[in-house]
Amino acid sequence: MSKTKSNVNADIAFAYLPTHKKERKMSFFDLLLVQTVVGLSAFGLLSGAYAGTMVEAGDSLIAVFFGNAFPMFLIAPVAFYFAKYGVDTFVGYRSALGYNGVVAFFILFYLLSLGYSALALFMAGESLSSAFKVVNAPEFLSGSVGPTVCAIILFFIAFIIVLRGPNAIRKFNIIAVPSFFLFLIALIIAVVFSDHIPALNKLTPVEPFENHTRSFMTALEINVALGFSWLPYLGQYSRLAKSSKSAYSASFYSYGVVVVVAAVVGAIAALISGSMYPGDWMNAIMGSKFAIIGLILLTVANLGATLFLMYSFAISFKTLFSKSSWIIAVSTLLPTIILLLNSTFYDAFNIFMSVISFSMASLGGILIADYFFVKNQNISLRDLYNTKGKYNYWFGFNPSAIVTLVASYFFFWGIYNPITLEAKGLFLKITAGIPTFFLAGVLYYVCAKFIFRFEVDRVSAKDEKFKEYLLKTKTSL
Amino acid sequence: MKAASVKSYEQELQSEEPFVKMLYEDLEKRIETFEEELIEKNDKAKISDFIGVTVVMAIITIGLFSF
Repeated sequence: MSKTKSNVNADIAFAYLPTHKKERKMSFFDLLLVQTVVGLSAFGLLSGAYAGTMVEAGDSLIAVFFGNAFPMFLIAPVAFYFAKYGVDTFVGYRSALGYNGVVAFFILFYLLSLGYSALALFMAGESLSSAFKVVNAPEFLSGSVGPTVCAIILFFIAFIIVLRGPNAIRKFNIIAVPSFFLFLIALIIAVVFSDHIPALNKLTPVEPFENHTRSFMTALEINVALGFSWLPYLGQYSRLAKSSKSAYSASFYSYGVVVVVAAVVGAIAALISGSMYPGDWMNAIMGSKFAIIGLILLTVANLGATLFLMYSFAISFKTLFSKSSWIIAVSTLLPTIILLLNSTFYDAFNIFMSVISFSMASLGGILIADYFFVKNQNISLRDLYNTKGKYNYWFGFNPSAIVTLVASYFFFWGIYNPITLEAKGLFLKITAGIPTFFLAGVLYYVCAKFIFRFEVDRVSAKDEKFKEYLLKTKTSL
Repeated sequence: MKAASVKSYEQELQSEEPFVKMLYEDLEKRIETFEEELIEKNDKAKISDFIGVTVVMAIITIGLFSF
């Protein structure tokens, strides 16, 4: 067996199997650090940048901080589940969605991975192309098609590294992770020690809506979407936590508070430069002389983020479809190239995030309601893995989750249409993602408790009955 | 609730590929151990576990909106 296959197999086994208590070694600070590194990303910069193009500095900070922290506050309790049972996201979600329902969730995760990889790569491509422009590189690298050409080249570099397995990724990340920190620190220093700070309050956004409330709520919604979008990633490290409480707290502080730094930097950069493109940020803030260093750091950092996204997805793919080969698992991300052909997808970031907001807010509400209020924190680990078990519900789908998702869809799109940007009254008061989370939670609870009333839910609700069930399954084997 | 006795991964437990067979045998052992521990002690999240984060979220909210 090749070394790559052996390393990949070890990662698949580690992702698929429930973790033993002795394997759960991560303290609060370990989790905080690793999740911060994962969370500091191109999407943080972009979400912040969108806020910076719509509202002025003070409101951008509110939209960015509250928009990221509050959704994470709502979904972070999910970490208790993964920390207690030691399972990965796509195994854990079976208890709420059903075995086939998780496959549908996985398809959503696939689209999320494609979209996030494309955004990180396009930003990297745009940065690299801007850097090439500074050194007068050939037209195809530095001209109008430069970002696309660079992004596609970077995609294939990422593809080859991911194909080579975890060791190659770890080696690259030794450079990529510090690059992003250096980039952020350099940008913050440049803003603080330049003459921009006194003028920040006077800077006006370049693309506001017709009224301030509308602009603020739209900026908030994009950041709320980013907050909710961490949902599929919450299980990855929480299952390695020494204690459930530290998994929960670290999830909130990392994804909800610390990574917001990237979004703040993005908002300030967009306000100063009036643009969504890193090339413009660097020139406006650092000047063309130092811009090239920032652009290269951002390219490396975004390539690192892409590696993480692609590898995480490929591992999840292998845990669900264990018989497929590693090259097939990685190749499923090839459609990313389509999204890199021009800047359309990058420019439609707000629409993409709104779709994510609706989906993840609903799923977050469903999982919280199912785990804490319907199943009373009692999950059968055996049934999570045995797809002929009790979480089959109706043909592998939980009808309570389906009804909830359909109702949430109509609710979300009824108050906010992210494609036409049409917004109803309620959106202008509380955004669309946050009320969708609450609606999903309440509706799921009502459906599961009073309408469908599956036996597995009734047994799990009572500790004694659940214990009897566990004993019965043990003796029947 | 009737106990689930048919396993969807029965075939994998008999697999000729060592990695697959070992993976599912390991899974069986882990489930056994976990269930024994759970029957003995079923630790759950308590209201007090949420207090710290809730207070911080409240401070962030009040701080931001009075800014």
